[in-house]
Amino acid sequence: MKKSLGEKIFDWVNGVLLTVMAASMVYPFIYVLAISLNEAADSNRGGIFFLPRKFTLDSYRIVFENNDLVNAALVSVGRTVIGTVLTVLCSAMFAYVFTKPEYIIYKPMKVIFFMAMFLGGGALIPVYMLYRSLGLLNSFAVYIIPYLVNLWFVILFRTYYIQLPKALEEAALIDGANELRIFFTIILPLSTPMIATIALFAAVDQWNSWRDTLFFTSKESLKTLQFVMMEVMQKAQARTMITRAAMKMQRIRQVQTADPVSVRMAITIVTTVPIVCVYPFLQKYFIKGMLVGSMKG
Amino acid sequence: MVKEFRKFLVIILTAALLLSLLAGCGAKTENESVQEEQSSNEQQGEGSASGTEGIPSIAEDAKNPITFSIFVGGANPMKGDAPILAEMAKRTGVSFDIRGSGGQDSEILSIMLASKDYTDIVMLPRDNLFYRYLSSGDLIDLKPLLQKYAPTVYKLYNLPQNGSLIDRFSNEEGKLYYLTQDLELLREGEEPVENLEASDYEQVWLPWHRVLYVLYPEVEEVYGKKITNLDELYDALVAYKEKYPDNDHYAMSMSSTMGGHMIWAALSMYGYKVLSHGIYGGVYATKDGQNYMYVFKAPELLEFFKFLNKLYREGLMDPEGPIQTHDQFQQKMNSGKVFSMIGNWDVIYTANDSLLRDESTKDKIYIPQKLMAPGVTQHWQYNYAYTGNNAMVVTNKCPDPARLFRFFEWLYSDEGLVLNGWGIEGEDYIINSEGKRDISPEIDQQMQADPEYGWKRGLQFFQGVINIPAYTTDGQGANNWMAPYYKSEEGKDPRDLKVRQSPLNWHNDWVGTFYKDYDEVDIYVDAESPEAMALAQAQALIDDAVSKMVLAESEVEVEQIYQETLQQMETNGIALWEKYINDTIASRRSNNNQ
Repeated sequence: MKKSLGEKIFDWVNGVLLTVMAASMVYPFIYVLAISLNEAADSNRGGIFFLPRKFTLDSYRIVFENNDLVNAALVSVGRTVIGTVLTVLCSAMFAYVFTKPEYIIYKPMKVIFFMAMFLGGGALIPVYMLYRSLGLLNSFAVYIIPYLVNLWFVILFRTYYIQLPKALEEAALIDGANELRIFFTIILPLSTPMIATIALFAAVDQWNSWRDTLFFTSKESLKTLQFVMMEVMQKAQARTMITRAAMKMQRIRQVQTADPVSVRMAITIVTTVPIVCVYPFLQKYFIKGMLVGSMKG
Repeated sequence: MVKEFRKFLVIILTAALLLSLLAGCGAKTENESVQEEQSSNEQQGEGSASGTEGIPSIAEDAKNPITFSIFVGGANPMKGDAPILAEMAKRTGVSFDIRGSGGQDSEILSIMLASKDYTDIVMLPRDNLFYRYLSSGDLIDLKPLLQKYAPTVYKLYNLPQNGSLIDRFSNEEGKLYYLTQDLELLREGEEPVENLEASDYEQVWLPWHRVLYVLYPEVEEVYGKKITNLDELYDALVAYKEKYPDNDHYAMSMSSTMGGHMIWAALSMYGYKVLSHGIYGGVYATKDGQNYMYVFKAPELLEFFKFLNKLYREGLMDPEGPIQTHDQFQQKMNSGKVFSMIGNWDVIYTANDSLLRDESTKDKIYIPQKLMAPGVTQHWQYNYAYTGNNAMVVTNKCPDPARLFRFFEWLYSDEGLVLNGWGIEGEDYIINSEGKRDISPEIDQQMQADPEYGWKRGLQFFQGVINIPAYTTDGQGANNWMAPYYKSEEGKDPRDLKVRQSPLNWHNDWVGTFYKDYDEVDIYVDAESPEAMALAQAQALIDDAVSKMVLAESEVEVEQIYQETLQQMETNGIALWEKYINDTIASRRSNNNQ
């Protein structure tokens, strides 16, 4: 069917607008990449927008020579993998209970669920004291346990489970399967789109999180990649505490208050790229999962 | 049945309440235990004739390693196992678990305070949370510890030439809960490293000024002489713009966050003394040394803002200036395409370093210019009685306060001072042909090649913790910035050598602009008080107001913004804060006269 002039104009405008939007999202990556690939001293003079002026990989060399970053990367990967698996599993199991009003614990759990929803996560200091009482401070568990059940994920899972045909469960029950078996062999395999969606959310949350490192740990060995990046960025901005001693050290160029901008950008690339790479693999499930949840809710 | 149950419950609850009360009466708090231990230490100290009897030597201490946790805040503090700190640990047995805050100092300090989960030592900014820590009851009185275990530290802190700091910081009950840092202490008879009050004082390095900075040799080429007032500055900017009419060069630039520094620089030009909390950012000012006002209220400022606005409207101010971030501004300065700025020295240090590192700009350098408004005869730059921005407190979590202060006493020995201020011989410094500690060109090169040299080595860590003496007992500098190398031709900035030969030589311009008045510094207000709130609100308005005034379309609009901002500050109660400042200074002066 031939398109009318109006439709053609609409397509063009649409195309242009989407191109502009795509460019506005891609450009920051190009900018950061260009600076990270430029000589550090030269980058401090500004004026780099698309391509490096003096190409070098020195900033990446500095980043990868940093032992802290290697350890931080391991911690980040560890918390992302373990945290994501356990969050998905626990949230999925928790949600399954919420599809069973006949369970004795259904009502009390519902009350707790809604209270937690409305009262939120609590202020920082009570949370800190709670974690301290639970012995979570300065331990890797602080990255995992508080995130095991996410109420938003529970709602998504529950919405998904409800629209699965009841007959599947009934048939399994007749065949002698118990609830655990039904959950793991029937419900969970049918929930792949939802698992992928929530895994993506959980993984991004885990990967990007740095506040828990800041507030609940003080061990060098528990620093995450994002926390190290935050430190580097903060270092560039924290100029308010310059002392006379620091000034004198700066005079003889023995100390610099901030890392060169190229190194900061290289760290940004190193910390961003891994999680960006996850998206394409999960995109198919992600869209499906979101649509299912939204239409059947 | 229900009645009986209620009765039972009441009995149980009452018993529990009584038990908890009894337990409360009997148990000592951690703080009480520490205070008791302290008081017993004091008694022991009084009992010993020399004051050192029974106190282990540092060699004995070294056999019993101990680690103190210290919160220093900031994004990326030094590491406790840095080579120099590790060497200290080897010699004294004392090591430090150094904790930062990822740049979120106030959050971490608040958590520590609320949960009582303190580190052994806490570095506090004196403008925030400080009073809540002081009133927490969790801090240890440092005076008896200093007297007994660190008598040298006590003596040097309390010498009048160092500001009698122990007396100044002791509270009404005579207890001392904090020590400041960032001041080079002098022994009796020693001269300051830089005698700012000397009539023939020559500033060796770039100063810590808030002034007009201009690019050399450009200023010589376009103007040919020093710039001494705003009219001359205007002419110089016009001349620069005529030479560089393109949009890539800026006659003057600024950032959206430097309003406070610009105001400090401007008020110095109009003959005001400007004071601050610490050395960063002006807060209150006086012209007659008697009446102190919030900086923004100085009437001359309006003229200055109109001048900046005129520069903007005539294309002499960087059009992005009032809205750009500090990073963007710094990058422009680093490129050598900005002719001038009015503000703080820290931008200049970074810019000059960057200019020197690039072949195309290695001859350029920003230098300070002393501006004076018509009719003004005295330019005041800085009251250097300032005693440090941070306070070090020791909390009741500290496992062995006596040991900590024995370490500080060792730190004040020549061995401790050299290790802290110079590092390890052969690695961080050398002994030169005259038998003095020095920096070799190779070590200097190493330091310059790696901007994190000091951080990686753990050099001068304790400068940020307590005050350190300026000299070792043999009269040599206690810190490597006093190395003879930096006074030699080889160690000096080649650009500065050129400036000294030119009519733009600024090194003697600041004689008589520094002064020392302890009464008007170190005034801190309780963070929760209405005075503190008023000040915080006023400070929050400044940067925005300055940017708006620079961007205004006319002088009338500048005046309107200025008056509205003033009005807002008055409504927020800035007069309360001004009264507090004036009353405090008057009361201190009156006490001094008695």
